[in-house]
This record gives sequence, C-alpha cells and structure tokens, in this order.
Amino acid sequence: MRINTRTSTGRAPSRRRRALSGAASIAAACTGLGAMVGVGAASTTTSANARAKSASSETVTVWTDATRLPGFKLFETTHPGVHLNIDTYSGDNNGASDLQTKIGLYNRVGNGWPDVVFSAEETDAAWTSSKQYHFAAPLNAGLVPSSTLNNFATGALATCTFNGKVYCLRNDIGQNVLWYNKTLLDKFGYKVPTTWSQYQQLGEQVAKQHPGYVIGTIGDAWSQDVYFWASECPSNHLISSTKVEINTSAPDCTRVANLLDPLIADSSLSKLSVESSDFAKQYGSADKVLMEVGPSWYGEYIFELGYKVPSGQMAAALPPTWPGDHYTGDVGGGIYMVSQHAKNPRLAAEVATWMATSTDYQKTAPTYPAYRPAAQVWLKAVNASGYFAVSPANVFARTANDVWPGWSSLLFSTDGVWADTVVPGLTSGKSLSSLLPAWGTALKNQAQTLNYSIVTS
Amino acid sequence: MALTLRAPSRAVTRRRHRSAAGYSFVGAYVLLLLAFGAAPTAYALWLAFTTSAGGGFAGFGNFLQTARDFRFIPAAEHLAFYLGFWLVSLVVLVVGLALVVHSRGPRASKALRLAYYVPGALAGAASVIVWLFVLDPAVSPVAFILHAFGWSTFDEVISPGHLPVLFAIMAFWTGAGGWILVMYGALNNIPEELMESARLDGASPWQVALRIKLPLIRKWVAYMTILAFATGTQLFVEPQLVSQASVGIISPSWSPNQLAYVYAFQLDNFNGASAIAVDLLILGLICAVLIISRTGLFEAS
Repeated sequence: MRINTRTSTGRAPSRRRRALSGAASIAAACTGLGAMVGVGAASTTTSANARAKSASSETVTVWTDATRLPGFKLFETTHPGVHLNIDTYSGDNNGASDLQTKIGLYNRVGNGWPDVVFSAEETDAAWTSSKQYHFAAPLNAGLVPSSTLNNFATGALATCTFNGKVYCLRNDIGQNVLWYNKTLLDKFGYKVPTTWSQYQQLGEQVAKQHPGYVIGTIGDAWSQDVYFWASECPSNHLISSTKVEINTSAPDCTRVANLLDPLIADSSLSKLSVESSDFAKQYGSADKVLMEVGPSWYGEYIFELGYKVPSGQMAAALPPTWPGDHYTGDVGGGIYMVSQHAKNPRLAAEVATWMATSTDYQKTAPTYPAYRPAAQVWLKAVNASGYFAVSPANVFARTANDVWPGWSSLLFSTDGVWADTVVPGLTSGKSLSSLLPAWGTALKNQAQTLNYSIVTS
Repeated sequence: MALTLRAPSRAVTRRRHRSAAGYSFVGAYVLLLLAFGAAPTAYALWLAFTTSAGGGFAGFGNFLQTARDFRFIPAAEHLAFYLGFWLVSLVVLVVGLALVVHSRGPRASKALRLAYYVPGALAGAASVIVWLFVLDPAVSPVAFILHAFGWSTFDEVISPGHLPVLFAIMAFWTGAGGWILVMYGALNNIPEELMESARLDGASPWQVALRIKLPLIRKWVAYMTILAFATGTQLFVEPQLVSQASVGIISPSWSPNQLAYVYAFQLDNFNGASAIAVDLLILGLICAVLIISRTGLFEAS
C-alpha cells in the first residue's frame, strides 16, 4: 500500500497518475448495471451551473482541488469586480479521473460545464482538447498573449500543445533532479554522478561495498517519466494530435534498459515505489537511500515529510545525462483549462492566467511554478528553508528548462500502462529489457482503441 | 343483530387496512425497482443497440466492438477464475459452517453467529480497505503468514497470478457471513421430529447433516448461488480499490464491469459500456435459468 505523504500535509502538489478511477466510482459498482448507474454521481456540481445563471456576467465558475483553493480566493479579494463560483473536487489528484467522468456527462446533457478548471493530471489536456470531448478552449489564439506564453519554462507547455494550439497553462512542473544524501555520500566517499554511465558504475559499487543501500527506484507508476523520458525514448511521441510514435525498441529506450538491468539485478535500484510502505520501511525511513532521480517536489514531500530525513543531509544535483544531451524528465504538474462553453472566455482566461502566473499567489505555492518570473520569487523561499545541505534552487532553475518536449500527453494514461505491464513483470523477476516489447504492445493496443495512427520510426 | 352486523363490517375494514398496508409496502418496492432496476436496465438495453453518434440502430455493433477490445478476453478470464474460486468456496464453506453452527449448542452458536455476521456488517469498500492492510507485509498483523508464502512486499502479494484468489477471499470474508445466517435460519425450519426420528434410526450427526439437513436446504443453496453468481460477475470494488492502493499495478480494466466503467467514463462510449453491462446481465440470467430448472427452485414442495 502507498503512504499518502501529500494529502496528509493538506498541501498536495499536483501529480500525474491517471491509471485509476476515483472513489466516486465505487458507488456505481454496488448497483446492478454498475457502469450505467454511475450517471447519478454527477449531481454534486450542477448547483454551480444554476448559480452561474442567476448571477451577473462577471461570474466565473471554477473547479479546483483544495490545494489551489487559496489561490482562487486570493484572486477574488484582489479582483473585487469578479465573482467566482468555486467548487472543489478531487482535482484529479492521486489517480482520480472524475473530471473526465463529469465533462462526459455534461456533454451528454449539453450544459453544466465549469468555466475554469484546475487539474493535477498534466495530460488531461489531451482529452479535453479532443474532438470527442471538445471542452478546452485554445488559449494561444487571442485569449492569452504570446508574451505570457513565452515566459513559461521551456517545454512546460508541450504537454498542453496539440497541432500547434495551446489548450492549458501549467501551474507547476516536477522537473527531475538528482536528489542525494550528502551526509551518506561523504561518509562512504562517493562522488555525485554526472552521466548515466557513472550512475551505473556507482550502483554496482554500492551493491558490492554497501549492500542494502539504494540509488533509486524503478517500481513507481511514473518511473518511465524519470528514466525513459530523460533518454528521449519515443514511447509516446505525438507527431500530430492523432498520430503517435510508439517504438520501445528504439535505441533511446533500449539503452535505458541495458543501463538499469544490472542495477535491478544487484538490488542497488529498488523495485518498490517510493510511496510504498515497504520502501519506507526498508530504505526511506531506515536512512538507506543514497540518491534518487526524481521530481523537484521529492525534497520536501518524500524526504523531509515522508521519510523524515533530518535537516542538513539532503541536496540536489543536476540529473545524470546521456552523451551529448542535457534533457531530463518530469513527474507531475497541474494545469488550468478554460472551457469552450464559457460565456465570457476572456474573463475565464484571465482567471486561469492569473492563477498560473501571479507572483502573489505562486510564491506561496507548494511546488515549483511553471511561470519563470513566479519561479524566481518562489526559489527565494527554497533558499530560506534551511532544510537542505545545499540549496537546490540553482539546480531547480536550470533543470526547469531541460525537460524533453517530445514526451506527449495522450488520450490514455501512459503511466497506467507502465504500472500494469512493466512493474508487475519487474516484481516477478523479469529484466527491464525483456519487458520492453510487452510495454510497447500494451501502449499500441491502447492507442489503437483510441484511433491513433501509430508509427514506429 | 347489531353485533352480527358490526362483526363482519369490522373484519372487512381490517382486511381492507391489511391490504392497504400491503399495497403501500409493495408499491414503495415497485417504485424503487422501476427507478433503480428496470429503468436503468431498459436504458442500458437501448444504449447497447444504438450508435453513439446520432443514436441510430447499431445491431450487435457495440457488442462486437467491445468483445474485440484487447482488454475484453483478459477481463473475462480474470472473472472466470475469480468466479470459480469464489462460488465453490462460498457454497462449500457457507453450507459447511452453517451446519456446524446448527449442530452446536445454542450458546456456542450464538457467539459463532455474531462472529460470522460482523465482517458482513462493514460496508464493502471499508472491508476492502481492511484487507489492504492485512495484505501489506509492512503493516499486516498477520505478516508472518505472508512471509511464510515467500512474499515480503505488497507488490509481491498482489502479483497478477494471485489476484483471483485474493479477491475471492475478500468477497467471501465480506459476503459469506450473511449467507451463513440465512442458511442457519433455513436449518432451523427443519422440524425437530424429523431429525429426532433419524437419530432414533441410528443416523450419526454426519449422516443427519448430509442426508437430512442438506437436501432440505437445497433450494436455499440454489438461491444463494444465483445471487452470488450475479454479484460475482459484477466484481468492481475489490480490483478498483486494490488498483488504487497499488498505484495502478492492477489494470483499471481487470474485470468486465471495470472495463464497462472505462468505456463509459474514459472512452466516453456509453454504448459500449452498456453492451458489456448487457453481456453480464445475460450471463446472470443464463445462470439463474439453469439453476432454477435444475433444482426446481420455484416448484411448490
């Protein structure tokens, strides 16, 4: 079972995990024709629509998770002329998918849509912008000025962009860095690896000299976003909004498997999830994590609050690189979307833009702001935190622009496919290399069901 | 005179009252049945035979589309394994345990009855949460059992091959208690003289259970099997919650009912979802017809 480090703090950073459906779905299960009776689940937010009708034109209906709620409240106090009808929902956090459920139902009845939506699932723009759902409005065609769009971290809007149109604004990014325990590393006399081959060598050294310690994990639902994303593996590379490149036997994918397989075999790379109670018990809270390539939010939410690593030990370095490359991956990052059906799209876009870019709000946000000017202010708080052995601010700022833009949002959860095809295979003792074909097949199967045309090179 | 006149009229009003109460009970039930049983079923049937675009007649198109889905056969296989484990264990253990309770003295059976009933009193989802803890070696109170099987992590416990059995155990634990009580009630209806005479004829307790009690509760077992089969084919909560707790190691379309959910809410294809729902309905009906015709469930004894 996974410990839920973030919800317990009440400041859950957004994260990508759509493999699973929300608790609302349970209600549907108890009935005879489970899937059909779930229709009733949507009633909770219809009141917002009724309110919107009776209020003035300066009313915007907003859906958000609890974490982003203070931001919208701040917008209301700083914009007295605008009234927000705020409804909190799961925010698609932790694998919930109720946004899709509800938009699908509203599309069936032809009304009820919110004007502005926050979602913690960074890939949600794929389906909200699709012809079938037709919900998110393109923002770069007059709603949001390009001067604003250009100020987002490089590549941050790639997951929002389909056929050249930007359908969402990123709230935050989870750029991967190399987290390491400086105290342990100094004690053992190891150096921080700067390339992936050094990383592999270190892992083999650790397995021999300090068995029981780990330099990372491969058992997370998002491990592919750490290792394969950074290697530019074309496992989900959109060419157009309906054409996708899926080739898990490409050299950029196999080199990752070949690099990691020895580390999986000698247990210097754990097969557990960083959020599992098993990992916490064996490594996390036992002070056995030497390093871990992971998103910028791991420092606070996994190491400090999850494993309670004492202050003054953790630090972040630039992630390892492949020869001639500088790319990294990304785990998590919420988005704001504006409805096609909004009565006042300009005002709705203003709300979304303010949330994503306002320094006043973003400087208090729990995770790294995707908007560069806001991030600069946010980083001052990181410098002042005093938890880290070395402030990770510079590393965060550099890697924020190094996320490979070729890892696309698809109409299905690629993390879900990784989690239910590759992770159980690894648990049963298979090598990562041997699982690449099955991973590719599972991705292609999903893509075919959703009418993507698939290319392999 | 007055008395004889009044007496029948009072009886008539009483009868009228009684029938009014009856109608109001049945009426409320019929209303709920229509709203939450018949209407959704009719809607599902209508959706299953129409196209998503425009609502024209689709024939068996939705059924073919969903049956050809790459997830359909695996989901059906999972369900078949699960049903196999669950139905067999349910019938054998429920009948067995009910016979045990019935053969004990009244005091022991009272305690046992409560013990059987308690897990069933927990709501379905809540009991699955309990199981998530039980099955996680890091926090389980019975971790030694899991370790004895060679499983040291949650991921190993819920590896794909174990799932049908695990879900069957969960479903048994949450659902069997109520059935044991029903069977116990059925056993209590057997006239004491019948068993007394069997004992006088020299039947052992074992023979009484097998030759006298079991045949007399046969219809109850058939009734339980029909309902258990229908709920079993709609397996949803267990895989859904375990999937969530494991961050997706279990496919979100593990069971056919989950696949229907994916169709409705992730593929926006209510027609396909309805087709799968109708598949499950037909499966349940076939099972019911077979069991009813084989056991003579509705024949007056």
